[in-house]
Amino acid sequence: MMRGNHVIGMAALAAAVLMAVPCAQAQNLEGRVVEHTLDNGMKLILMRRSAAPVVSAVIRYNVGSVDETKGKTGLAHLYEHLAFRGTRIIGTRDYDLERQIRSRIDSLRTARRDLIHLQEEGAGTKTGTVDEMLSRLEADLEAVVIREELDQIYNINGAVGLNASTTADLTTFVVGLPANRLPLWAVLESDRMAHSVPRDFEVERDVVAREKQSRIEDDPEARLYRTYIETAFSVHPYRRPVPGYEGDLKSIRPKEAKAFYHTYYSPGNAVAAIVGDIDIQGVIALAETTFGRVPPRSLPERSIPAEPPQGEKRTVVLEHDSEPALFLGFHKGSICGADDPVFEVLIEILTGGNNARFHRSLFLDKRMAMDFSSWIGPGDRYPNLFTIAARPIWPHTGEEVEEAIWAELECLTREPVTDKELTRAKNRLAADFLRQLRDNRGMAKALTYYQCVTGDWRYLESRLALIEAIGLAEVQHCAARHFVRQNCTVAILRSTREKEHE
Amino acid sequence: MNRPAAVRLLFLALLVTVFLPSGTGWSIHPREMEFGPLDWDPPEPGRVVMDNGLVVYFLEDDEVPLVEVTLYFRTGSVYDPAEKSGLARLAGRLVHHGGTARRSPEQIDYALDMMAADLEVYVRGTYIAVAFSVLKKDVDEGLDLLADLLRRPAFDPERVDLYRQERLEEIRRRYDRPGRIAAGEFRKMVYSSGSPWSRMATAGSISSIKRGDLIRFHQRYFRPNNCIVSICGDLTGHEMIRKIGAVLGDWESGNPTLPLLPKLEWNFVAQTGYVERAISQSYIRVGHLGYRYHDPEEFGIEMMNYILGGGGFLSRLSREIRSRRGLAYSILSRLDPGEDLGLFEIRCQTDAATTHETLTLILQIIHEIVENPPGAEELERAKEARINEFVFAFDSRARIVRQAAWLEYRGYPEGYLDHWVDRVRAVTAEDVHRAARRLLHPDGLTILVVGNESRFDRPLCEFGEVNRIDLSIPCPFPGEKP
Repeated sequence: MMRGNHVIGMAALAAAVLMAVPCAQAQNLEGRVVEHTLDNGMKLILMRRSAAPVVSAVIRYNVGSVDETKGKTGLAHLYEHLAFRGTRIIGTRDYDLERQIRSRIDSLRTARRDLIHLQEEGAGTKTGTVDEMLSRLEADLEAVVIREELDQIYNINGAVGLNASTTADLTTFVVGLPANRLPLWAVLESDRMAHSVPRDFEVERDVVAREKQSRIEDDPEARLYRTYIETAFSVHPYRRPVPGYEGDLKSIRPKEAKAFYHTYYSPGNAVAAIVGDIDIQGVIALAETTFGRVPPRSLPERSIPAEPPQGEKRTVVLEHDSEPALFLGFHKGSICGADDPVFEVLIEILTGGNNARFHRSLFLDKRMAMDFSSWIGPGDRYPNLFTIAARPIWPHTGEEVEEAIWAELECLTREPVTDKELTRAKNRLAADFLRQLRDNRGMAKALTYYQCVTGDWRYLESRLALIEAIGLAEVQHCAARHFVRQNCTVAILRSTREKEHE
Repeated sequence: MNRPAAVRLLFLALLVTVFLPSGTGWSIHPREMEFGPLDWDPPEPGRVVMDNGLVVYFLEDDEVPLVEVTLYFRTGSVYDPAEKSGLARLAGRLVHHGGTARRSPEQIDYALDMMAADLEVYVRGTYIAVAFSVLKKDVDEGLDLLADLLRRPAFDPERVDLYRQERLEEIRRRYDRPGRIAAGEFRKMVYSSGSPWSRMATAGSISSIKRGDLIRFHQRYFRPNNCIVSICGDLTGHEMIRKIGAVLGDWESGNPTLPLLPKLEWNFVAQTGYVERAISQSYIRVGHLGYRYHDPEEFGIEMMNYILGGGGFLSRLSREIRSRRGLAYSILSRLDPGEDLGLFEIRCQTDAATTHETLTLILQIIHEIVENPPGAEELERAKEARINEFVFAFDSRARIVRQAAWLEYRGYPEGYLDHWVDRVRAVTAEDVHRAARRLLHPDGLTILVVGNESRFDRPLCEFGEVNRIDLSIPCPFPGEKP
């Protein structure tokens, strides 16, 4: 299949070289990326990269944990999971029959609860017959459902990197497929957009609860991060953990999940990108006949409360039987704020590579801490945080490292960074963009990401021009405005082990 | 060459249109949609061997003005002397960060960063990989610097001391995450704790590694005749060979023999380990010794593992434990070949209160695949999935050339991938069953649980006598000074 004979192989090589020539001259996106909006409001972003006969397809829905209502946190993430449980045609052999069986199971379970209740009150009722009927119906149900059929169909068709994720801002579904199988993606995803059926609701809720436990509660640094975010935000829903608060998950009913899906998984709330070996007009025609048939739904007004200015420094300490760690961060504007590109430069200056200031000063020189990193989060759509993370090296504590970080930050506000530091940061960001261009999946994710959070995929590239224009004074002013104690939240993981040795 | 795929796509789009009625249903169900084979020949990298023994694979890629170089060195951490465990990893760190005879560590950091080059050194059990990516305009300066690092590392004494301290801090943090505990302790149980295949660096072994050890390590293994290079980028093949030759062509070859490790023998003795942690989930590992590269039955083995737990939601473990019962967020099995016997392991996390239930199911599912051959449809689906995703092994030119170098490093015959699809297609249910019977030993499983037994549904000792593993790290380490 892959190699006929050597002669054909060489011909293909020559053809590949010829075809790649136009791309070699076009390192920018304009002209390579085509945008198309369907009548129902769904947006498509298409980019042809013919390096191999494969495609990456990404769909993002503009919904995340910020859109959940009080008491129902965790719902966005739960639905991302439920969306894999099938539709009216996927995951079942006969949807009508399945519904009948499920509704009979539900009524029998209610009857059983009533019987048990009567028993407890002393009546001589027995559940035997009901139990028998239930187990027979459950066997019938097993015969009609096809578990994980969506994943199975994707896998059989050679899908790679099949995945989904939920953040504060967005819900995302990603897959890579051999290029000739793109119609399958369009059929499956448009079907999921139109007719998702959240079957096995309780089972999936349990799975999600376990994911939450293993990702957050059993990992000391993940717990620290969660505490840090909750401390930094007092009002804005960015303070919520994406997996939800304890107890909320259990209170979510299937009906509420369905309503959430119907509201937010709508064509007008979706952005898809397909990057790879595609024929652009063919893909548009395909999308029209699949996604284009999903009727539009109206989107609700969103009212997200604004985070008030912080006012005073917040510090939170978590004690744990593990080595210390530290998060330190500052409130800043959203991705659309003028300062956001300056923070991208600051990330490079402070923690990007081996010349970054924290690495040089606090690791190489002072040997106080290691594993420095910094980022913007937990979302981009609303005003967010610039966060710095570090792991103290014994015998230094989180508090000492915090003071050392402050000294570095104050230095940034006192005097401008050097020309070379700024150039280095810009070079690194420009090179990252080039490297991203060769990756179908990364491109599809980036194009949809910027379309969703800034309203224009072109920001992926135009931000580079903004970054290029940043001067020394802007970096200094941005640092001076943000890196102040009344805008700062610190979370420290303090080792209970150290106490034992004191 | 890509036109046919695009044309077919358009045709299929029309097909979909024709077959879709209005309303909710599709008249052609997605599970019945069929697609023709991809008509495609991936580009083939070139290969040359330099006079000093350096093997070079190269392939042009002019999509963006970048050049990528990956070098595989035949060595790895399993060859560390026991008392200097951690040597290979520290050496890799210092080749990168310890300066050279011509440049200080600071100069190197600075030059790499100004070029926006990416350099990573990966030290693994049976190889060291150096990955370098640089803009085309900086390729000469970048390659000169890369060669300087590989050929003339200075092992700056202060940097040696610093990165030793970094390793100590990593060791101090080794038991902070239950997943890491499970990974390390499971290997110790399967390979026995003193084995090179499970040994972990300790504060003592790190402290005993001297600068001279690092220098000797480098002199022995960082040699052109111990290395396979791949290069891919916006240059002609001729330019790539010339540029590699200019910086590595006069690199002196050496005598890089690896120490002989005692050969592992199959030995399957049931054992159960437990590490207590105050956590809500149980981190479960189940498995035993696996197999070596180039096993004559490797395709049957691979399909068997795919069906058992390697194939995501198509696999039995995931279907039963995650999808049907909701007992775990993630469960998978791995059965990868090794230079010597690799590892067979099932990884799973479940709530402490369903530990016994989950373990029981895992054991049942292993039993089942050993007892009976897989169903015809189950095997066909697994084969189809693997064959259809095979094209992704060639999804970028950089991957194609890196993969060619890697296959030679692992000793695969030339043209191995040419026959890959046919050999997967030829796997029968009997092959899978034979692989399961030969490789899986339900009566000789190693079980490890990291968790909180006070919340287990039933006691762990029902699976056999429990070896309680006590893990703690002294702080400071003996003799460690701030």
